[in-house]
Amino acid sequence: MLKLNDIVISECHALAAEIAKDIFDILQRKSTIGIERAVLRLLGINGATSDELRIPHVNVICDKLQKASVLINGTALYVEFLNEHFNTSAEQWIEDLYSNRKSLPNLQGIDITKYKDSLVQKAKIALNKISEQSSVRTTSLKQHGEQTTPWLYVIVATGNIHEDLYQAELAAKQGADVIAVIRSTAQSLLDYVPQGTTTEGVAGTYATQENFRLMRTHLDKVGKELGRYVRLTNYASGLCMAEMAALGALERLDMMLSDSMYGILYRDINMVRTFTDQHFARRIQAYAGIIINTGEDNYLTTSEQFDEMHTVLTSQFINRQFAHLSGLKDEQIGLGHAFEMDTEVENGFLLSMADALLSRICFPDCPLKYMPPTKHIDGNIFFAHVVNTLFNLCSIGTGQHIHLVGILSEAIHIPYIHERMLAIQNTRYVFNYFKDFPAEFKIRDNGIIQHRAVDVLQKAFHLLQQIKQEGLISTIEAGKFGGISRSIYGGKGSEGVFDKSNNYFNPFEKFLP
Amino acid sequence: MSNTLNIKPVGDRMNDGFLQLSFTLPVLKKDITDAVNKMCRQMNLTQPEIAHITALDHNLHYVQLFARIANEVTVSISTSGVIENYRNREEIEKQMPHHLTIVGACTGTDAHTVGLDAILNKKGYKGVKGLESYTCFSVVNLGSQVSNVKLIAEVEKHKADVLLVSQVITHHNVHIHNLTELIDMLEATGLRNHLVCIVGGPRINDQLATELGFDAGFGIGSTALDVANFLFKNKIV
Repeated sequence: MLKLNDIVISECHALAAEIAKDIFDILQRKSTIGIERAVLRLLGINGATSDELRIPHVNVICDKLQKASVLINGTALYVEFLNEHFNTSAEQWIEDLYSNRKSLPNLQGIDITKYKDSLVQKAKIALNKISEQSSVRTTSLKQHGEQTTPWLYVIVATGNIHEDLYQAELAAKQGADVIAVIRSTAQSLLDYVPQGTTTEGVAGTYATQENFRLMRTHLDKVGKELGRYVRLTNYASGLCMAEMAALGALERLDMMLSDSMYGILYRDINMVRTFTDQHFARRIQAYAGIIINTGEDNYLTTSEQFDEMHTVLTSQFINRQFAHLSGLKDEQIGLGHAFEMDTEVENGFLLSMADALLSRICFPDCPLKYMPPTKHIDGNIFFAHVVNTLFNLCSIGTGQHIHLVGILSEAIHIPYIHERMLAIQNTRYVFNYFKDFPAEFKIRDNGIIQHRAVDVLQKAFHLLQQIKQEGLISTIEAGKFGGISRSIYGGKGSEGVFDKSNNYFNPFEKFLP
Repeated sequence: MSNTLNIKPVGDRMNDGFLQLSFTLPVLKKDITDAVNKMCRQMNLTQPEIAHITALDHNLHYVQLFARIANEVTVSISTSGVIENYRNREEIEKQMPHHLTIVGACTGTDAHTVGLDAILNKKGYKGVKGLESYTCFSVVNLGSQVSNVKLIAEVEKHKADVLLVSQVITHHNVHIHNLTELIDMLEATGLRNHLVCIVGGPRINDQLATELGFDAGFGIGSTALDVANFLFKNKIV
């Protein structure tokens, strides 16, 4: 094992907790239009307009309430009021409002507090549905047992959900423990969740409630055949972070990409929007027993691991504290990192091992998510396969938990069906062949691994001290993470953030962690 | 100067025509050999030797094979291995007639900045320094998912001489639409004439780029020095 200074590690945790708390104080006063839509989705409003635009009903009603300047009070009570006012199903009156057959009554000054009790009952019913879903997972895992780690995590992304089902089935049969359906490119920038079954995604498949359901049902069927539980992953990132978390909880996703800062850095989404959305999204995920995956691995695609690994570690410390503030337990926090060291660095494998071990030791109870090489993979498929082999070795050798299987056609195209098979074969070979490798070896005192780990930890500690002093927002503005600078006022989606009024009511608030 | 030559792929000996291939066919195990042979014949390949078969499903089989191509092709070949007048960074910095402002971005929905960063960022890629490190260039790297509208606004704001667009995602030809739209918009705003427009990415080549109305395209393996040399020639001539 590495010899690390426990006091430095606890100091890092403490600094990160203070950094996250400073942001938490701001975001607690806020809500967003995305969160309001998530609330309505949880309450079962899941239709879309009947014209060809297929605008989700939750968008129609939230936009109308925003125009009527009452969004600050929360949307759910108004929906209850309007149900009574129009005396039709929500689906019907939203459709009527949309097509201008009916218009919104004057909402200023009406007493909506009397709907609180009935609304809370509905919220309880919704949460019961989510609890039932998570108990299906728990029961199945209890019955079949948990897979040994590292779990093989495999992506499918044909753009057509029906093709995805078959690709996912084959991947599971080849040994995949987790199936992630990559989303169509730029879905994170859509300020709505597309509707229904989709067959036309680009470099991925649209995440929709119906697509979630189809894949979940299919994996349950495949899992039954295989005698194990096959986990399903999708993305709660972007402008619909909270809504995605709601749909993921209702349709029993097991993992979701859910980062406190990824959207800010890599999708140029407004900071306050992201911080506020991630908090509510993660509270839903905490309740639903979903494992989150954070996105620090991305930093190493825009900066070099050799120089910048400490920014990954720093961000992991902070991301975990944000997750705790949303009620997630360590066992649900899949902190991300990656095997991205330049392939020409001397002793790159030892340095990579040091980096991977360091995260392992700093977060002993978190199911770390380890990502394969991408930055230095240049289209030579045979060399890529070799680099992936070493990635596999580093993963089993350092006790990683969620292992995203690296595929030889990285940087070329979405994996072909047999390329995924070759990748799984490679991974299973190494995981079996090196099974007890870590237990047989001791890390040399004063060796390369030991020195690297101490160095990276020290740098992370200094960066955390600096962030504590300057604040997280200034740190992001200065481009410390991934070499990408974002300003507090910039980015997409800021118009959807608002200060909650004193009368603000969200029926899920008191039930979620 | 160039000559022509008749060539075939090289495996064990010069021009023996040997290839290694792998693909998946949707047939049963018992039909796979026949299917592979027919597929090879269709491709004008002889002596197919299947080295390996994996069943992906009962009616889906992955094969790795070696085969020989019958046809040869006539190609024109450069007589010298050195590209004419290819300059190094110092030469370009010294001889470049004007200072150039370069605006670069991954446009549309593309979020993959690896290629863009490799060409623009100071550090560059695989030991070749990026354009930011050249004293004769000012570089504005806008990062990923920049809309064409925003990109054009930035070109105007920075009075850019060069526009560099990176496109990695090419699934379903999404890049073609995006690049065509950009050129149309540049022409509509009257900016196109004063601007050198370059596109890069793993699925891009010079021919595609010029067809779409760009001045040059840079594909797989291109370096910042290649781009700098292009800009140099473009500004000298």
